[in-house]
Amino acid sequence: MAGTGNLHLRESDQVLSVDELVVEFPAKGGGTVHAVSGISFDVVDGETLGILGESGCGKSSAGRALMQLPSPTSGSVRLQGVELTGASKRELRTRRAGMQMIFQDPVSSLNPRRRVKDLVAEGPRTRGEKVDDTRVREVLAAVGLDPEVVWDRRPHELSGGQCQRVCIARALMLDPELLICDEPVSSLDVSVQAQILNLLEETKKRYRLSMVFIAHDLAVVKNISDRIMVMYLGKVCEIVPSGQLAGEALHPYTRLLLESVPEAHLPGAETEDSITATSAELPSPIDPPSGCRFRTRCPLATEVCASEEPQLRRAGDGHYVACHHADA
Amino acid sequence: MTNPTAPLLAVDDLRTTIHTARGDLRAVDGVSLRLDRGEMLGVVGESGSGKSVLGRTIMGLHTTGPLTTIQGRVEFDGQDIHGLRAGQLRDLWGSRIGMVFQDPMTALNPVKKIGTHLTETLRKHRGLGRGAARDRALELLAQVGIPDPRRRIDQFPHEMSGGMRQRVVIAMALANEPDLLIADEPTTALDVTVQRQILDLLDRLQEQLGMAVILISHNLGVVAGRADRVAVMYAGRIVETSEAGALFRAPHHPYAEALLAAIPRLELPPHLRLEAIEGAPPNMLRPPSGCRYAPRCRYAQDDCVSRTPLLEGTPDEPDHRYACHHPVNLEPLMPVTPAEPEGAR
Amino acid sequence: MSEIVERPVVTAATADVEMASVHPDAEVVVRRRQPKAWRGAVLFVLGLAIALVAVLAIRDNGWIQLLVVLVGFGVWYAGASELGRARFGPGFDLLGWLCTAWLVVLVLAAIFAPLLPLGESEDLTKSILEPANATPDLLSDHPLGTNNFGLDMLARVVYGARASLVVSIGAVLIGMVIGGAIGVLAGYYRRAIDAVVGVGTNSLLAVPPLILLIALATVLEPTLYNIALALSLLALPSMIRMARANTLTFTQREFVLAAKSMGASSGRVMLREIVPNVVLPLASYAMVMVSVLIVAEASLSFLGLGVQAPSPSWGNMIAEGEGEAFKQHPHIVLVPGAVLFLTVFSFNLLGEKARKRFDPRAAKL
Repeated sequence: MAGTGNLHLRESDQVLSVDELVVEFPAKGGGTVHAVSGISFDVVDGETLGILGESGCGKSSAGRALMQLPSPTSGSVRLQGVELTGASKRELRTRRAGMQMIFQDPVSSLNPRRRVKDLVAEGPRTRGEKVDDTRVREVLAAVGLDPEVVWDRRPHELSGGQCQRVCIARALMLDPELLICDEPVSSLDVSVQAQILNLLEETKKRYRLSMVFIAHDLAVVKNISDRIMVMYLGKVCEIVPSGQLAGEALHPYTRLLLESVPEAHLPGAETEDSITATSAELPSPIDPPSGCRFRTRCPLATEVCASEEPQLRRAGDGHYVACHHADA
Repeated sequence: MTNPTAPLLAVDDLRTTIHTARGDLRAVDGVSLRLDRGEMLGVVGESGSGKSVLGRTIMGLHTTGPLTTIQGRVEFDGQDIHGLRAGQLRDLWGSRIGMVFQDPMTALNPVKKIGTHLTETLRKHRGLGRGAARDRALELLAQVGIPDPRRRIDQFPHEMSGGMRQRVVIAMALANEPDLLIADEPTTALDVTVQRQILDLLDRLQEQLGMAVILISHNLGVVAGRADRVAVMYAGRIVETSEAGALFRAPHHPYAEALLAAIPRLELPPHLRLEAIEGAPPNMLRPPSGCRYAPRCRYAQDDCVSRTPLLEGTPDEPDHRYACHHPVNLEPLMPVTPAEPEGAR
Repeated sequence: MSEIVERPVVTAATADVEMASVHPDAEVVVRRRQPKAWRGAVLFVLGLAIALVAVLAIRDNGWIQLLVVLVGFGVWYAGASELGRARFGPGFDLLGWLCTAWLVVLVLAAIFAPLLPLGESEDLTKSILEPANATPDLLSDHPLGTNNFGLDMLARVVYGARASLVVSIGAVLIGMVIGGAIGVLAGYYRRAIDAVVGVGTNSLLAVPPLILLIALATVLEPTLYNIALALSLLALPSMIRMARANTLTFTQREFVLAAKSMGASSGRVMLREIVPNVVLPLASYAMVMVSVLIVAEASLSFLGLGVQAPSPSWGNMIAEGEGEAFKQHPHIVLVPGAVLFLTVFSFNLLGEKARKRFDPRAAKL
């Protein structure tokens, strides 16, 4: 099966290079779930790549595959040029050290029996390093927590936002180069969400990180990313610089997402040409449509869409679209 | 714009107190509102604001008992909801008041067919025979946009997707054409494209049936685009209520303003610093005195703590009411246009 | 910068309001009438007085004395409960405290038995001169009476407690450690290990427990150690299942994934992440298991297969009541029976309370 093509890949300065990533696993009752079907992308030093899509698009599976948790079915993931896929557990421990992950449910990401001081220090301790208390305090302060207050607390004594800060602190203790965030603010209230998004931006600047930010909320992804990769049913539809998402998106699916966002109805928001929202259901990832996977819901679909899978082609500066019919 | 005829729903100083092992939780603490026939009211609040408890209390799901104490009055079409006996209340539910809950996964009985969910309520409240009930059920499934209803009616909940299930739940709530629909976070568990379809559906049905709707959500965008009026809740109280557009053009309560500023907006450029609200919602066991938002409010002053502000409008805008001693944005403002972003406000 | 929000119930801070009304603990608080300290105190004193009068005054008819003492106890309980709720809040559970007190007293008595001024518990030669089958009389030399051989019942009950507690707690500990380890391994690795463990556990469960014990008793010598070992086989399957189920729950949680992503080996993940979380629910369950094993040990001894007479065990003490003995001297059976009942009841109650608090599957987080 054809992948996304290579047009959108850059030449140098890549922190992360992903080539033909495939994630599949057996479905209950036979068949295979094609969660991710051959995508390639890269992240350049200091960049934030947003991965945007709804449930079932494979973005979370892709994120976990990057971390080799578990390893992808096939494809290559290279961090600073060093191959991660296929590495043994021991090799992985050293090679993957520069990559850390923040998960969706902050409370569930922390061991309920441990206190904050031990939770944050856990990373280096796993490596066998001795951890200095002052360093832990520094990192806690850097994420906006008062060490004196939270030092001895357990996760259930903290709010969701505070737990997420602890998770970020824990990740920072390992001096990562790349931070993968899997829906880190989806389970948080609006006001807390804003705090954490600001924190992530700050942290990225201060520690000079690169980021992969996975989410389903368009405005959130736009706010934090430099480039946005839109996924649908295991494939990449479009890669667009975040500033152009709202005005210049070309892929019918991206346009559909933009139309569906509730804020689209707010006074003062842009009104675009309407994409008819079909009531067709999301196809099953066990048996995805041939050719372009979005064709069953796409108003622009023709015969070629069923027979030939579209590759990413250039639509502008840094802007790539995988569609036979989308025009600039 | 006040309607001269009697409102469909009148809530007066409603207080719901939940008795827990650690003390009394004042989930809803003095809420008053009016809803006219055919009107859609959006109730917006974050978790802990009491919005879901409000919805359930209005419906009568929370009644005074060993665990809860209800004070104040909920009048539905002239009847005191909390004065009704259990049997009368049950008659009201499903026939005149419908409720849609948040999680479509758990709102349906996994061992009952979709059709059964619908026909049960139809036969109970309308006294329809088997055949008539089934026909009406098919009608309803088509009305809520479920493709191929004849096949779906005999399916079980697990055979359908989340979006479909939520439509079935809506169909159940609407089966007997209620006068009032209370929808508590009806789209939160759903993808954004499905969410839009569901909200469009609610819009259409509301028009067709002339139904009043209370739409409860934490997502201002959801409420803004659809509701006629919006009420913003914080810590068990309504802090601002107005016509939907007015709230978004010029919120007067600092919390509403802060909430709007905290949401990333698609039409604004990336990497803008969001205006986060400091601190966390108050402990509802021992809420702060005076204005409950004062501890987090950037405009707070001494009188905010000493005197509890009341929900009131101004002579210029009697329908735009807010509970604040030092409201903001009182002068008319320029609407936010995408062409010149002034930074997140 | 950010403040910690205190939680009224065991849920995330800002979800309290929504969750409080549906939280399982919310059902526990039933609004009784307001407790009044004075009413509680009056009932407290009244109950004590009634019981005291019964003990001192009604000395001829044991049954009437017992009945009045029970009435007095009932009144005292109502009073103490109300006092407790008035003083400590609606969550005060007198029954829980009483059970704890009973167990503490029992354990201490068992530990310090040789130092206590008890009568003779097993040496028949020393009890030759004591009255046989004396009825219980709290103010006499033999507060709980004597058995057929003149051995003091109180002393026998205390030494019997030693046997019962040592054996059952020992068996549960063995079961917890070994069963817990097996369960965690099965739950973590799944597949082959899980399948093998599953077959093993099911096989063990398929054998009727009493038959198993009897079979073991015929082969092994009835020392306390062997009895404990045999009983641990009873506890093993449920401990394995409990540990496995909890491991499955925790392995799904993201903190295990986070540990792996930081480079933790499987061993480290199991030891540092899973085990500390599994221990609590397992220990709570173990408390309930203890009561089951106490009864199992008593059954064994009753059948003559456990602790051998004249060494006392609650089971073989009850066995002494066979035939006419129970009809003529009911206290021989009732005394150890009552103690057995109270102990099992207490372990059960406290174990269930511990489970409610510590089992994460019951908690809404």
